[in-house]
Amino acid sequence: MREQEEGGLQAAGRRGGVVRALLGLGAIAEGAAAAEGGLPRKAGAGDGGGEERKAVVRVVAADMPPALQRRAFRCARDELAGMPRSPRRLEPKRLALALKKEFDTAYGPAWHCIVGTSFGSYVTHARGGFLYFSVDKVYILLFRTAVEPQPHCEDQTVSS
Amino acid sequence: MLEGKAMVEDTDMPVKMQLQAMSAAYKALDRFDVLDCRSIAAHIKKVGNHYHSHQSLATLIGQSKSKVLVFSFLHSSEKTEI
Repeated sequence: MREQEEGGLQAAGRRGGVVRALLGLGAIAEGAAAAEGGLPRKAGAGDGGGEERKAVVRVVAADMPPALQRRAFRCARDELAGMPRSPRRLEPKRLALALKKEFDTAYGPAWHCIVGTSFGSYVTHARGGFLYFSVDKVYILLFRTAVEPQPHCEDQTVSS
Repeated sequence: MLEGKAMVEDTDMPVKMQLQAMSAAYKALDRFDVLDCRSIAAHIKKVGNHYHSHQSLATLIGQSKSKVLVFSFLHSSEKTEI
């Protein structure tokens, strides 16, 4: 297996702007809510011409109040809109960071966010704290876990 | 997983737990197709939960051209009876 210099969970789209076709990958959550992730649906149209075009948001699976979902959509759209277009590139960690911070701040810890174009996951989440959605061709997994008081707590991010 | 070798990119995890996670990953990759990310993730998570029954392991599998990326972290979770 050829080794590559690649940090963390880089989306394939980060290199050369190539977005890989999804292979029916979805997220399954267990625990309080048995949300079954269906197959991700392909984005219908290709990238629109103008910047005015609104990004298409699709929910693949959710166990989350509508108000929180809408907030996630808005946050993701805004962050994606602010990313470089020429050359077009996805910055998954930037988007994941923005979403996690917004939700940790607004709704309390602890939220986890994964962004990419091709990944599978299997997580346990708090009741009402699970959302797996797509914005155009970017897939976003956002879920919450309970936090118990611990004598030593450490935050760590995966860096490239 | 005869062809490849696991490489740790970043970790905050006891060595014993790392070895358990890698062992689970090897078994999962032997059993499932490399593109079946969901099954691989599920297998690793379930093995992890078995070893650490009071905590939950969240597992994420990503694909690169020639690598399978595994990202696991441990977190406390409430048990809810249905």
